[in-house]
Amino acid sequence: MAFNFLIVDDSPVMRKVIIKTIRMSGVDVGELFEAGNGAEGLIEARAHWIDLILTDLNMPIMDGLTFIEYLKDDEVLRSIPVIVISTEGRDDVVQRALDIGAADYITKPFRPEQIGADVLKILGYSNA
Amino acid sequence: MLNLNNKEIIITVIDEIMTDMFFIFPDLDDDGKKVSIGEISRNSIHVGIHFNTDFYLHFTIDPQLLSEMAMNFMGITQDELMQEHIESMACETANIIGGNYLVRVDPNATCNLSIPEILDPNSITESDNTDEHWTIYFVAEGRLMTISPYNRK
Repeated sequence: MAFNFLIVDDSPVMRKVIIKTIRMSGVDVGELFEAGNGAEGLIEARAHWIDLILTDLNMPIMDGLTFIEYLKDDEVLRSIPVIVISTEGRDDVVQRALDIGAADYITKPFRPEQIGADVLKILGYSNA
Repeated sequence: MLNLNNKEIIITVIDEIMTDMFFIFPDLDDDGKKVSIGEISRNSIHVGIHFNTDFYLHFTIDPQLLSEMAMNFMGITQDELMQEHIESMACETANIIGGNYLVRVDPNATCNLSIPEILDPNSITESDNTDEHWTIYFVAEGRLMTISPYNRK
């Protein structure tokens, strides 16, 4: 079964790195969608079947926390797991993201295998 | 009392980030003599990242260094590298360094990290210098990266 991913980050470089990491993780990759901020992320999430969202927090127009709140407020979208990948590593921010529904939180700098392991774990791959 | 202007911590953070994330091994150039300082404005990309309404860190990064970082980070070749990657790499560098720096100097989250922005070097003047003003020079792959604190008035 192939999984569809949505990567939300205002950095084209970071989106490319995350996509590469997902492909290298061993998960069966279906389609990969990208967005440059939370508002675009909502549009993509509503337009396509998404199995997992990876989002930054610090973005223009709509930041990551607001994006997650909108997702969790939506009857259809709330079940999509969200991994936060952010340079923001302060405890209260991490906790807030988890409290509003993020499935996990990875701080930058990260090792690619961290993202790969997280993706596999959340999608329910064995031995993850 | 919160002190956002901490040269020693920024040096530590930069060394860690450049090595762990971008596989670049910078040398600290204490007196800025290894590379012509005049090259900073001509060749480098200027990026600013704010921690509150006034204080910001100003990065200048040689585009060749950014190209190396981008290729290492994204795992792409020179042929695949685009201009948008270089500017995005500059902003992401400031973002990751700024974020890791802020965690250490402001663990109680009284400040918010801004979105990095590409700066016009002509917009920065000496009147923006912080009271304790410094510039750190890093040389990596023969290319220069500098960091300085400023107060936008």
